[in-house]
Amino acid sequence: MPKIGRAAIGWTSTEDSNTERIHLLDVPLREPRAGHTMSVFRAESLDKTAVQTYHVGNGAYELEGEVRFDAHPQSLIDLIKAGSQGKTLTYYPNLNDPDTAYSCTLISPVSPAGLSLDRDRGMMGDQAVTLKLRQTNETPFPALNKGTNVLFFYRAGDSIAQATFARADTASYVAKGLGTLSTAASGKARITWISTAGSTGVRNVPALLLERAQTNRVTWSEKLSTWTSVGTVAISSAQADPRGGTAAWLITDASSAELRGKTLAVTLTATSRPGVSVHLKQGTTASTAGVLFQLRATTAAANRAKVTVTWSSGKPTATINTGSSWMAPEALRGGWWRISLLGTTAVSTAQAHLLHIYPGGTTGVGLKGNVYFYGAQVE
Amino acid sequence: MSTLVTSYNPTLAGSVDARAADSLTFPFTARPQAMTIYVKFQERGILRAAAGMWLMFLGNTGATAGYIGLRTLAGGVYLIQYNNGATSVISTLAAGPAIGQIDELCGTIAATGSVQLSQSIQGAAITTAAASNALVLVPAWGGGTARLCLTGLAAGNSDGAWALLSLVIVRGVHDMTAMRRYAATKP
Repeated sequence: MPKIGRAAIGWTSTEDSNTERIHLLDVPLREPRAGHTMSVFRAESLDKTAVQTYHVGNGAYELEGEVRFDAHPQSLIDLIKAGSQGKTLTYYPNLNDPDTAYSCTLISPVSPAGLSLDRDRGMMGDQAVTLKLRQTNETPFPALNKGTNVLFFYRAGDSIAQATFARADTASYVAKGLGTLSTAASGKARITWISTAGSTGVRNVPALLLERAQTNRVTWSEKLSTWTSVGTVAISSAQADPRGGTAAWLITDASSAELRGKTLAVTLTATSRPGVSVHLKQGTTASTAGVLFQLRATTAAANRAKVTVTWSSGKPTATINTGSSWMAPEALRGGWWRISLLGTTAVSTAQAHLLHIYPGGTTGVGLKGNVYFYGAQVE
Repeated sequence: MSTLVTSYNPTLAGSVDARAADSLTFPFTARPQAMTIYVKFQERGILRAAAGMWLMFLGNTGATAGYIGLRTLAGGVYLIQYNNGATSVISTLAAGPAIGQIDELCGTIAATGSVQLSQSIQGAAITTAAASNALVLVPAWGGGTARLCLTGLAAGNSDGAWALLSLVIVRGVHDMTAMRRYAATKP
């Protein structure tokens, strides 16, 4: 345990000729407890089915802590007097680190007030008092609530009101439980939910998602009707999607004599490996060869990324034929899965590329099948 | 820029769509001193982005004068680096997490300025890198207002992709077990 400098509470007063008043604490504030105060008015219906709440503003956060073992009661009473007069009290948890300080308003006790004998050392003359403090900017005391040694504390889901956050765009994240794909508004930090039990578990752990800028180079990521048909492929719109809407499609290859699928031209702008992903859900008729999803350089006739997805009771197995796995298929609501992989670097950006999906699972003919499709991405 | 697979970005208008970066900084007032940085997160590609990407950075905007942080190294591992404005000391791990795995990093800087990094991937056994040489602690972080940046070196400079579960900085040198208690997390 490091040696802690003295804690102290300081204030300035025109009533004496010190540059400042300092009350040195023998120990830092003990038993720190978080609090909040707000003017709330509430009414409940007689049958208890409804509660009406009216609040004034957003209230203020407070910290309650005990000054213990205090052997300078007059100075402590002067502190309470200063706080009662509305003077700002500055709490220094550790004078070895004076820049870490909290400018506070004393909420309680206010004069008339008195100290009590310390419960452990009162017979020695030490005294104690419980202080309730509120930061002058009304923000919470997160680190201080965890202990004096804690310099910074953040857990996903905590307030970031004291931070500076920016994202000049909407962005996706996955909600808790079975995983609804959701959209965060511009300027909102995303609390995404993950499963620490693996990509198929219930999403019960919050995490703050932080990502760099990225571009989806698929021009129509959801509207399969704009993609070019291969053969007489059948597509059916208005299918349930992982957002809880109906923007997904059912794509069907019902022929054993003709290859059927969809393609879309994609322009790549860098020679680095493309990240490729798509949302799929097992269809009503699964091809024995699974579903084929690939990014192909047409001029060179070479695949950059290729994955075959087979199904077992709605759960996919993604076999990477070209490229490498990014992560295991991620489960989303309603039986949806996000399949992702990294492409190869073998082909330059100057060549035309096509994104393909074949529900029959092959670029050959003879296999029938269908699959639900949503949200393709090449980045 | 190496490629990642990031969160889904819909394109509904027949053209490519760029998603802006996340940028997040906190104020940080504690002076340079012996301290322990604990971070628990899901790896989502920052290790693949490029070498030298910062997971978290404590210092000023231009990374001048004194700073400390956790960043990536070529080969897909993390290190802790302390710089006093003229030179750096580092402690580098031997292995890194795979995409989707939960990683805990515990980086310490002693009063001598020596840094050391420990790691536990998916709650497995804790591995510890060799401690660096000593380097005198600077009297203050950076040449301006110090801040804790979770998205790269400077505000608006998001370096990769990761999902933060918890971040705790505690005065003094502590091991991973103690930091887990401070963070109130289970391995």
